Amino acid sequence: MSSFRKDKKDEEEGGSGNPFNNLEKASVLQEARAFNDTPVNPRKCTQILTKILYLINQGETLGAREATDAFFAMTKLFQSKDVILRRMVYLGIKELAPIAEDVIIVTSILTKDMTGKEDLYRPAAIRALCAITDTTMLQAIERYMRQAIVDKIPAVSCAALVSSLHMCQYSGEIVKRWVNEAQEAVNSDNIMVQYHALGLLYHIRKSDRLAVSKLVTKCTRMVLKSPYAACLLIRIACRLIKEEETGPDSPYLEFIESCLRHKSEIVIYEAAQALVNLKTSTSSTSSRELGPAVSVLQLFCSSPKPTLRFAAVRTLNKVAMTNPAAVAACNLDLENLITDVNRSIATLAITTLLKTGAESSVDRLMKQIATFVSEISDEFKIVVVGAIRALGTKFPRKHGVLMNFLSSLLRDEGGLEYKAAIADTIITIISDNPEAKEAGLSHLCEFIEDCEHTSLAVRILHLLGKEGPRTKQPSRYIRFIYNRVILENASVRAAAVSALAKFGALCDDLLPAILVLLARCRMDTDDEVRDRATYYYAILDQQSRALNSQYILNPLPVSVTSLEKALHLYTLDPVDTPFDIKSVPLALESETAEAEKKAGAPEGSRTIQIESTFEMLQAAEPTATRLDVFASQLANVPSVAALNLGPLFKSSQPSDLTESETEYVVQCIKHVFSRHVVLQFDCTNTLSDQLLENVHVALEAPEGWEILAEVPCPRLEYNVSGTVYIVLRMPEEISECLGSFTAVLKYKVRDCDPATGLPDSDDGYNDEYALEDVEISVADQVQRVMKTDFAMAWEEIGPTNELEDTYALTALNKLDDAVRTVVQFLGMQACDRTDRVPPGKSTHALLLAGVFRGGYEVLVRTKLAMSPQTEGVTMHLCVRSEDPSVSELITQAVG
Amino acid sequence: MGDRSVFDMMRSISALVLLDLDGSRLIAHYYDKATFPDLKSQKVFERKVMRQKTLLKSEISFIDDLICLNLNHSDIRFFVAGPLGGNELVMKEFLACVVELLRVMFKETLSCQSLMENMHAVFILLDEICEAGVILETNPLTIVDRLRARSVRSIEDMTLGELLEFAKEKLMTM
Repeated sequence: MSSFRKDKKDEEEGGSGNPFNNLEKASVLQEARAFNDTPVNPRKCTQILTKILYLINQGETLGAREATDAFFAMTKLFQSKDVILRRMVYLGIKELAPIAEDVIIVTSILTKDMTGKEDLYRPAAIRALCAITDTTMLQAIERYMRQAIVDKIPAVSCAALVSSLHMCQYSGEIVKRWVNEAQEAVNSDNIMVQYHALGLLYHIRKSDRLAVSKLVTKCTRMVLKSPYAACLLIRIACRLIKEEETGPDSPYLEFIESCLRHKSEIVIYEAAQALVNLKTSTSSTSSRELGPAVSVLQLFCSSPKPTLRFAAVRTLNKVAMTNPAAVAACNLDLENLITDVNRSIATLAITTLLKTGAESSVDRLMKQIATFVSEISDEFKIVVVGAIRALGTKFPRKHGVLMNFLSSLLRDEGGLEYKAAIADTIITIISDNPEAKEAGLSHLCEFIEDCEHTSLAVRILHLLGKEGPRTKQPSRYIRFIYNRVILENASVRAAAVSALAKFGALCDDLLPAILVLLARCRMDTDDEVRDRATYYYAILDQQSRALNSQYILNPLPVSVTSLEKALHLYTLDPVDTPFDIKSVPLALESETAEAEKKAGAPEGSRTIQIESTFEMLQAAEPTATRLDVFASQLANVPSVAALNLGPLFKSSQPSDLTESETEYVVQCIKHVFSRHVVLQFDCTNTLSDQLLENVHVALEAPEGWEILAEVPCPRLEYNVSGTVYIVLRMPEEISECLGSFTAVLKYKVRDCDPATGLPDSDDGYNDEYALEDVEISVADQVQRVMKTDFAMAWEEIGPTNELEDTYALTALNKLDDAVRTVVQFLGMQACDRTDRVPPGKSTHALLLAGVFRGGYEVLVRTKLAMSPQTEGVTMHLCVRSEDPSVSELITQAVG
Repeated sequence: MGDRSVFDMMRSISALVLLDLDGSRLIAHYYDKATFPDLKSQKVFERKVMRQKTLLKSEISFIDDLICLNLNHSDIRFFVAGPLGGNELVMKEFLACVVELLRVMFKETLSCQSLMENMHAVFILLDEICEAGVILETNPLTIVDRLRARSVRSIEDMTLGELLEFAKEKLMTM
């Protein structure tokens, strides 16, 4: 080994034998001055250059000045004829080219090297040259590049081809002219030249589909020797198939299938992978079509090479997602992989099996997983848990086995994310499958007895409070919950108190006991826990169902940020009237639900459902709701603000009043207040040669509506959006409050220079543009509200303003479509999960809750039935509300 | 997939990383600048590969949205990463070529120490195998032949020439 030691001195300096230990950028750059010595000392300079490259490789960054200095010093080294040093200089050029300035100075010397006699220089010189060349310089060296592409030395040709591909990213047009050379190179005997040439040729022709298909057809015939080239050709063929959407008898598909018989494993796998990707992306694939690909992957499964097994099972897993039946033939091979030493392979095998397995094999699989689950990392455990969740939805009858397995996982060691994934899965199984509820809840109870994750414990306590009181034997949960009050930290104790209160509100026989427990909690050391206990105790002590449901069971109907704002305003300006919570905009149920969905199910810790006011206030950084944003925007429009419309009730989603590709694009957002509507027209001018002035919208209002104010948009430049507002007063009679308005955009056009946007002359002409009608519907005036106990709310509101009617929805012939349409039309919240129609049912009850503008609560109970005679859905609708005209409006609107 | 440039389509390798037993970087080439835009993301990746037992013990695993392969030789850990849409067998061949070349060149003494001492040779060698993630050549014999042609005559620096000469013999007899 000593014979390899080059520099004894460095060894001593480095101490541990690493000559690069403790290198410092400044001193290395200082050393680089030796580059200027004449004659050049190749060994010394190679060493210094290596140090510079090493530092950059370690992540050290050079400033432009440092890099430029080093670069220029390096150019001196071209004097030396030492090949090793020259190669290092090329590397240095490539490394410093992006940072240093004036790098084109070495163009001529590199050009000389690339065309010179020294074969060792030429390929590397080409690659270095291309690193410093920009579009303008490229023309100067174009001739040499063309020659290099067709050079008889493969390395030179490859270097030129790869560099050309690299340069395509910014100088595509010039490179395109090299098509003949690339064409010639494709026919080369050298496999690597063939590969790189195919890539370049495809790049040059890729926008010309006919040329590409010719290229592919030609190459498929000539049988590419290079496995890489074959892989690339498969990929190109895939793109063609996707773009052309050719049928199953496409010649490209035939080519890919023929590659399954290639002698290189690389190509076989690439072809199998391509077939799987192609076939699984179209839904109508039979397992037979995937057959050939699946059977080569099956062979790979028993390979001694881990990479091959990994590749096979990873691809089979993809097949199982869409076509589990196609993989069924491999089940035996996959089962062998469960015990694979490589845990990634084992996990992929398991999850694939869980997708393909039959109901009867679930028990066996669970047993097998149990044997190795403790050995794999959390990351993979989460994957396994995800697969079990899918299994739970697929085979609801197996909930017992799955639940037992999950609870044993809960007892094992694991991080928060993993535990949250398990808890999430149990919760999903519980909510989808009422039979599993009791068992699931008791597993979770057991888990919180010994759970170190506060967020998870809080979440489970919340679930217990929600589901526990409705079980057959609510009393058994009390002990688990109260134990938390005794043993845990303040956050968990507070959550436990809230859960207890829910039992008290729903289970009359437990109430006295709950009151005793809550009374004890009032002595807690923590403010929050005491506050909650006192609050709940006071309400429960009244023994009033209405109070219970309003203040304990149902969530706060308004958004906390809006409430905070309203309260702040109220305290700023003290008046004698008490604060009215109805003046606060309602929270959008859909927004919170969406936010939860975005957070993603497995990261359960983040989706802790917060229900009570206190918990919501505790939640970190309150974000402004969409409504708040609009409210403050409208407050900034003087003529709208002057009307003093009160709090904003609801803002609709923007609706298009024009086609998307027209001269002017107009969108309308409807802001509903308790008595008024503000229409916000967002207009965009898509004509670069026009400037619009005094843009306004002429609206034809039906009887009863009154236009109070209009805010025109003074100027509408090309591609800068402007806004027009119109304020309308709604009719007094609520039942007249639905309407459709004809709208016309009116403006003065001034022709202008597209380049500068300046008008050509001072005068313009008036013009108008018809828009689509603006509709004000029921949904615009109703806000979604979640009722946890619909039946209770229904009784509370009473039959005073009840109206009912029956309708035939002939246009719809599926129950779930009908449910979706009704929910959308009324803009109300579906309660008690009635928005999900269980499969195979012919009738369904949909419960909806909402608040009408002005703060009137509305509840709707619908019964939907498939009617065999009329082909459609029959709907019986029953409305209760706090105002008779609101009920009337809703029954009218549906008809 | 739809708008990927051909260069991305041909880039089989996202990263090649050589670490020592403690996980310190010996040499690292991150070709995929979109996945590894800065030193921080690279260091995170290097920490992750060292923590993944499956990868270290048996060759291949996922690291985030990448497929990662590992090969250990004496006190050096070699890692190659590629995209999920990539071909792990190509990555494997590439990795095998890198290790094989270094191994035959440094006789049986390939270690962190010999690697460090001949860093310049390693830089040149890797430059012959791969350019910006596109594989140039994976046949060790071809690569050695290309470099050997003249390096032997480099008067000032015999090391690389000597190593290559040895490697050639070794490869011929295999």
